[in-house]
Amino acid sequence: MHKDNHHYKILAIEDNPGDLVLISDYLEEMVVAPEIDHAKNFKDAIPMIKANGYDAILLDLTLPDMSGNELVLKVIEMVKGTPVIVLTGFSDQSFAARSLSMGISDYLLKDDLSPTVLHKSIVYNIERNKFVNELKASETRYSDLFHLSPQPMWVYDSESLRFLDVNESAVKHYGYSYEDFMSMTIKEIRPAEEIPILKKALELSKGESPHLSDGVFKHLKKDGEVIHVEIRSNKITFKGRDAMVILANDITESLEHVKEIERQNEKFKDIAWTQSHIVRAPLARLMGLIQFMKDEDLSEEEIMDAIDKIASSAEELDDLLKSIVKKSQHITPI
Amino acid sequence: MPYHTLAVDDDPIFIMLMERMLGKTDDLSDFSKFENGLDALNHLKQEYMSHDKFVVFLDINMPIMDGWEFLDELESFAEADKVSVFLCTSSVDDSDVNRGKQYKFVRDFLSKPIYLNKLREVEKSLNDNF
Repeated sequence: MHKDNHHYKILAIEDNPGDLVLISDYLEEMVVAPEIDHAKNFKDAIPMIKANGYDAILLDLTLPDMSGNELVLKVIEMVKGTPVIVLTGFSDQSFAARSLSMGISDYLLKDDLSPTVLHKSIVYNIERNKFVNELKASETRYSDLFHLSPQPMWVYDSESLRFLDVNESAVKHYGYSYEDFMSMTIKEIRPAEEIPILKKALELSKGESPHLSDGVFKHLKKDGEVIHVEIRSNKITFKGRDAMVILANDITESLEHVKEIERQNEKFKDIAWTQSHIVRAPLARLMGLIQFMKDEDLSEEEIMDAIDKIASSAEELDDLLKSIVKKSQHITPI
Repeated sequence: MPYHTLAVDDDPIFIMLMERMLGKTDDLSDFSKFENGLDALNHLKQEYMSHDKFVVFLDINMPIMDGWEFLDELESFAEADKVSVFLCTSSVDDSDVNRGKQYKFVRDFLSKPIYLNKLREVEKSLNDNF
């Protein structure tokens, strides 16, 4: 039979020398050069557990300085994800079974122990633990994405429309506390006139492609302010319930921005119109008069008259330009 | 062929300049001036039978009766081959051009200032077409 040639570093917390020898023998029978550290009581085990360098910990439930419930709790608190396999006698079997719910990975009865059983338990629990840890990390990542998102996000129940979770940004942005949200439905963040639109969007969101319900909606903050938000939604299962996860992007300011730009465009158009139509009138007159003075053989009196006319047209032009400057000054930079 | 010419504009300087320049043309020097559309219209109605051809230099924006109203009134009695209208504006606006095209009398748009060589071109185009 091939021996397992993975390198295992095992901590055995066991006060019975006979049992320890047994464990070592069994492991060496199945595994090439296992590294086994030994602690004969809880106190000695503490620094070793905290060093956190073990693939698995084998724990006797009855140590001289601690045992049972208290021992399990203390060890689990310290291990940070390393699988703990409890070794126990018949008398403690029911407790050992219960300790699974406290975070123990597995329990083995000393009287049933064999090289195969011990080896299988260690390998199985190390692998399972890796998977559980990855799952936890992934859950944390997604939870962080939700909770640390700079944009408001929430999850609501597709049936009852109640909020199931909201992130910090939503709390800050909408002004409701987390507890407020948890007692509300999504209808309560809509202005009354938006309720029919919400109903329509909800219908769409139940369909094949929930993104049809995405769009720009009006929402109501706690202080009564109505904001325009761009909504992205997705179906999820949240704690076993059909739910929707929502990302809300407040575009009120950018809409205001666009409106302001449109207002300014109107002013610019007005100025352009004025400049081409009104300003051109005295200018055309000036040009006509100058050509007239060039072409005609004029008397002294006629020349003086033409100059007066040029002067008054120039003044008219000046007044118009001043009024345009004034209008332009009313256009404030965005 | 001589024409009876009307210059219609509320700007006295424009009228003065037109008067000088029309005097130098061969066929447009028979000339009457008006400061609004209504006076020009009344004159045209009165003189309609006494002349074969009329040329009207018409400003658009005027008090009492503007250029458009003048054209509307003209439709009711005048014939297109008898009256040629040149709309005179300081700046030619697309919407004005499109509106002007609706009237059979309107031959062209002239952008102010109008110089003598432009009036000679107008004179030539009239003689070619009539």
